[in-house]
Amino acid sequence: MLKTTLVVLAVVGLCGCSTVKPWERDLLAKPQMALDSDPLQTAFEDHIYFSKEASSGGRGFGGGGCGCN
Amino acid sequence: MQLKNKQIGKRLTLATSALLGSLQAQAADYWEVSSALLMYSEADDRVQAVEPVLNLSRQFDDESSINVRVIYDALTGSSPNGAMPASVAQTFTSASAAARIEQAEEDDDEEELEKYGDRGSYTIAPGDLPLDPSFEDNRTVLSLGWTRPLSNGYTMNLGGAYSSEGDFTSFSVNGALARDFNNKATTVSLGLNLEADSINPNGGVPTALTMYGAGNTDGSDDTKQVVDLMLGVTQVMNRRWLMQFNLGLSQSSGYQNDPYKILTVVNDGNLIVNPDDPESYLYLFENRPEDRQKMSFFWQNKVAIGADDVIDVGYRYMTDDWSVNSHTLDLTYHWQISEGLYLEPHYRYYRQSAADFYTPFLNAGSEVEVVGSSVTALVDEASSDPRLGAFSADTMGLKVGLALGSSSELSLRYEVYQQHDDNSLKAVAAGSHLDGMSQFAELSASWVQLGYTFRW
Repeated sequence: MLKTTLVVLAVVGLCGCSTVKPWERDLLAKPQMALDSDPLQTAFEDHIYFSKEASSGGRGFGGGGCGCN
Repeated sequence: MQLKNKQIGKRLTLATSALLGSLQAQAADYWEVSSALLMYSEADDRVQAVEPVLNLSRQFDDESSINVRVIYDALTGSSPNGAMPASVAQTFTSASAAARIEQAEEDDDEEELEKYGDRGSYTIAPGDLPLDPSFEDNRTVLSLGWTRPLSNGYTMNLGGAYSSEGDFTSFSVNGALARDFNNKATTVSLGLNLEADSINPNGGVPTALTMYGAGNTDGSDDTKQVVDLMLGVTQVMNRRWLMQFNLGLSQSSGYQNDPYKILTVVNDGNLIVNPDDPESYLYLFENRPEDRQKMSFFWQNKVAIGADDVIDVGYRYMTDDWSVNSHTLDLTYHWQISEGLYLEPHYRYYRQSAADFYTPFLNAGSEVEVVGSSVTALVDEASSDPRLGAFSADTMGLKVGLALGSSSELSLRYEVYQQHDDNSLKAVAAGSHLDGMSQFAELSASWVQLGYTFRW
């Protein structure tokens, strides 16, 4: 697990010297390219899956908790 | 171009904000108002929920932003009580309904009494899954977030959330620091979330692994504390590819039990008559460890296809010290049909292993000692909560989005969720009450989400 993490971080680090110029970022700036393009949908899903599965988180902190009987 | 550069910078900052589960403020000098309504429904008359959400965000001239979110959640329906289906009828007295009835009698609340009068105890037909029909709760959540750029490419994010239900209250605060590198092509962030929960079950906190119905409690309430730490890296890979990687650590301590969940105790597969009450059978309240450590690894990719389409691929691996390991794969395709119309087909695959103390029922002799009216659990922890069992699940959905003018959008999404049992069968004697009964209740659910966003 730790190895995987380090490998991914290393890959990210190597790609850090991105050659994407500011004027080439038209596609990246589109709303549908946002990492979380619909935060309310993400919040709904996080709550549903938190209530029905043993896993949670990953993308971010839940916030707010849940009794979820 | 400067504007685009600034926008992507903001998006990367927002990717960090997403760590905090907070904001997505994208524009200057106006409020962005997002509203959504979720209608969630489980098959077989299980949980039904209606959940409206309102989110307000605003970006200021100094590029700082605030976010306010209010969520209301109304839940009704039936929830599995944890007991096994059996070939004979089983009668349960709902602790939660009994407590509400008692309170209503004290308050002389006739409306409440009428509502619960016939649901204080319930009988489950042979072969049916024991569902507690008195499940009813309302949840209100308020969350706030504040993002502020600092000098030298740093961005700070602070937030907090308060959540309240009839038997549960949660308070959390979080903070994160992010830094941009390589002309904002790389953002590294570190976030911390502290959560304090208070649980006050209807009827008190049941004494773990003691007889259901005996009414032994350990006070009226208990607490739980959670600390989450998250390290995130967002990277622009090329003109069409944006990637995010998060490593999350979570430590939870305190009351982790579900106070309403019980376990059936059997003798060679046959239900045991409750030594204290010949009208009912023997069940024990569940018990889970007081600590839980989780680690998660999340990897997301957004890839632009053509001019407007986007593939979103996410993968999460989670592991904890309860022996739960899970894999989640999430795929969405954003298909821009025209300038004002898009479709998003979605598929999610999930698989988890069982917690090491998960068991569909307990055996007298090896797991519980039953001598006359003395019942003693021989295991330290046990839970039959299906959430802790082994299963896989598929979610399929479709979203349609329609732009209404240049600054507002209407969307509708429909999703279907189906669980599949992956547990190995626990042995039961042939011809006994539990012989041939399902040991895991596969959940089927569907939901509709209606969203409307506009600028104000």
